[in-house]
Amino acid sequence: MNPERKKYRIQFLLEWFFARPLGQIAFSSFLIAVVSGIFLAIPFDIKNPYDSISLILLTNPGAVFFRNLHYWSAQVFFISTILHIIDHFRRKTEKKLTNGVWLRVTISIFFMFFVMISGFILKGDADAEQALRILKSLFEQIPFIGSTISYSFLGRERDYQLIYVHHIAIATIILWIVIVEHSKILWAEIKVFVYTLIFVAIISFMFVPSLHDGKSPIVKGPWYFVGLQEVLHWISQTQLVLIFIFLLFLFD
Amino acid sequence: MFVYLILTVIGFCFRGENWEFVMPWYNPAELTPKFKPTINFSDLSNEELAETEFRQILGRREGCIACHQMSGFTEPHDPEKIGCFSCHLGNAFTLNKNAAHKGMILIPGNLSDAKFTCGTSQCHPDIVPRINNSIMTTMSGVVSVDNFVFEESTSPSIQSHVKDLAGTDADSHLRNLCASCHLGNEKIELGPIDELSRGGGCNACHLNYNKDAIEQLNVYIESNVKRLKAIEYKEQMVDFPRVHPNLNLQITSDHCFGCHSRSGRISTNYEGWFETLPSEQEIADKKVYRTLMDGRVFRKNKPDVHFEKGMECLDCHLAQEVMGDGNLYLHKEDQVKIQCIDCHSNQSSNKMSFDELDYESRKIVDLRKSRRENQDFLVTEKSELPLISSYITSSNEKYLITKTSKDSLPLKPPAFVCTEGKAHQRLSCNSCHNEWVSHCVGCHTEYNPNDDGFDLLSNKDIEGSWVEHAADFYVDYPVFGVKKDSKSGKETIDTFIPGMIITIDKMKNDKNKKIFKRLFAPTFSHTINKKGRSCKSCHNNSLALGYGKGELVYQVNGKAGSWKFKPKYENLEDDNLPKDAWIGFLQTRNEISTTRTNTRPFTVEEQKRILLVGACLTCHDEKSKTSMESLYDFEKLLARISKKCVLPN
Repeated sequence: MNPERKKYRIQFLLEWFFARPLGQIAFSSFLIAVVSGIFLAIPFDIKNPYDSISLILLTNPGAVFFRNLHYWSAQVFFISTILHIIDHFRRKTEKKLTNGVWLRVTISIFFMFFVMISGFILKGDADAEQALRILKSLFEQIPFIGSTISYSFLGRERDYQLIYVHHIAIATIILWIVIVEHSKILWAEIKVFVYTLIFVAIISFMFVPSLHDGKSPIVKGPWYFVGLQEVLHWISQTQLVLIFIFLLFLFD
Repeated sequence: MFVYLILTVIGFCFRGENWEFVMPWYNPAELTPKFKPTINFSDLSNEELAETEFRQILGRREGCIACHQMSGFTEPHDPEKIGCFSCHLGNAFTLNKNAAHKGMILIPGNLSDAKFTCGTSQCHPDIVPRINNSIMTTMSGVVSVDNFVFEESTSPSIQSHVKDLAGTDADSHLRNLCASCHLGNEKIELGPIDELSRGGGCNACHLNYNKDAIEQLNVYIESNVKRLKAIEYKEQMVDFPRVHPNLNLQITSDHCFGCHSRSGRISTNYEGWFETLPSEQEIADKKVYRTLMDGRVFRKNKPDVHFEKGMECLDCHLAQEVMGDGNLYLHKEDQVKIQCIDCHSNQSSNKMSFDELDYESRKIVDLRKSRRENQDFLVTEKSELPLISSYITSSNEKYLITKTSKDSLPLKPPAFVCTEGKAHQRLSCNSCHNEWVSHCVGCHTEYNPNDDGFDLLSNKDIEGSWVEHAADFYVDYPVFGVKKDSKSGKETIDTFIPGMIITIDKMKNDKNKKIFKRLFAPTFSHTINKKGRSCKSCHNNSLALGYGKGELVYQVNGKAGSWKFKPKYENLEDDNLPKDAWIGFLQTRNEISTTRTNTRPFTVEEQKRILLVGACLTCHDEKSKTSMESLYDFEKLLARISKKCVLPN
């Protein structure tokens, strides 16, 4: 193919892709995640998360569907939010936000990551425990206030209560406030919401996110966390890793 | 962000156990796939679901028991305690049959999966690494000696592993004829361990089927075969067994029999059977013969005295020997910890109380319920391991409790003739007490490219096969030689058999190459007798000295005496020695003539000393006062021989 024609085709595809209402998709999937999370909270037992999820998987097909819906909508929310951010940088429309809103939107990225990883940790399986340990050690390496931050976000050893409260309430509410503030809408566009719901529902009907069986020697965090685990594999000093993450965040 | 994306792809796709780099399409630790479609489509109805109680097992719920309720387990392996998933893997979190069985292991316990089944951190994590290094897994001695015989290495004692066998002549020889007898060989068929079993990982020793389990298995196999064969049966349910085979410590000699009825034949020797060449159709008097499941015919001979007392293999051999201790060993005798003197000693024995036992030994004692209050255990001299089936009473009497029949056998000290005096201090116990060994002489091995063969390592049919033609098989006393301990340098006289007196030609990779080897191998043939050999059976026996069978006569001519030997067999062209000999008469061999680097035949000087006593025995009865005195100080006795005595020149 003619190289110029190939370049034109790629550009066309990118334009088409980014012309999708990524922000609406993100908001829609966020709302689906919130509502499905409410239904999931009913059979979920925070005192024995692993056991309660394994029981859900075996005995409660309805709860399994809502768990799947919750998981996949969260993934769509995360990915579409990242793409939405990239899109705004690409079109240079981030300058339209006021400084205050810009600051809150930036901070909300951390809460978005936290709500995702806290959901992962609340599985209570081997993957989750490892992710929790890594996160805890990273927080504790923050100079002066590390232990306080770690305790404030992650709570006590072997006690998921605080993480649960942050996941279902605090982080979620903060995210919703920031979304509403910067998008200036209370609800996603109905057409986008329906399409997103159908898409996520189909995937949820088919695919169940895994629960570590306690046997497999492979223990990994969620896909968006393994990059960090890879960095930790190469750089053993966690302060350097924190600086690396900070720089990654800053330059992006 | 692009950098983080690359790191994410690497972390997600290319990292396996312990964050090791793996290819995503080959990750042996990936037991089940991460995202499984349709696993939430349950095969159970709502009513069935409501009736099933999913108990918590090891911190999780398992769906297996919804369909599989089985009995027949020992308490530690009861699904109520460990579930089904712990051993069989698969997916415990679904009630969809296909999804649940994906990644499932039908016969767990093979060494290929032992790390994920028996050897996980929740179960037996310390044992699997030991077994992986055990000589019963590596076959190091077999591989190393075979390479040496085929002249592919310069020493018979090189650390080797059966899994490294490739395509050389020696390797193909082993793969074709020998490489099934290792614990890494997988058990792929349901059923108990029997004469035909080879390998099987943990199952090789620990798997047991009771009568009900065997019956139900047979019914299941029959119903499944019918279903597969005939259309009209396809709609019928297959009769799945309800009684599960057991995994326990009831390890009988039958478990060892499959592999150890080959090579040194110690399982068959122990029970008093020696292999013969006739086929089943040829044997006339069937009462003294036995045909094994593989068609080999054995003739009855005197069994080991320990077998007669009701002892099984595991009554002597310890867990640290059989499962290994984590160390790699060159040859099997290096891994063995037990010695005769650990039980049969007139010295005060080392002992250990229950509280001093290591965790594993204590666990076994508890499981066997063999603990006795205020009684200690004997301790082996080598490696200081407790003999947990033994006990010492307060009056210092020693006993062994047999593991299967629970009999208490008194452990008697050796007779005075074994330990008193200087004459026999260098002899091992089995030098006198081995009743018989199997001799195999005159083998010819060649490769036939047109024969149908089987690769025992990869378990598949191959073209071409090594063919062994055995010449003479017979039973007789063992041959004596000298073994040197590599650590202490101490020399012991021990028992040997022809390892091989063999011609190999028409090799797989070089049709013109011809090899002749005459190598003798140290053996502990497991045919112990209580009484011991007669003096003449050693001192006046050409076979014992290594000359082979024949007439060994002491001729006295006036005042001069000399030994004459007429071999039974003709000399072989290859080395001008009789077919069954190790060394020539009053000669020795300077090249490596054994399958070990620390063993050798008698030197000429040693032969002369033995024959000197033999000369005395031609006149003096074994039980005479003179003969008894000679045990204490032969040199002193020689100094005052009578004028009638005629010693060899």
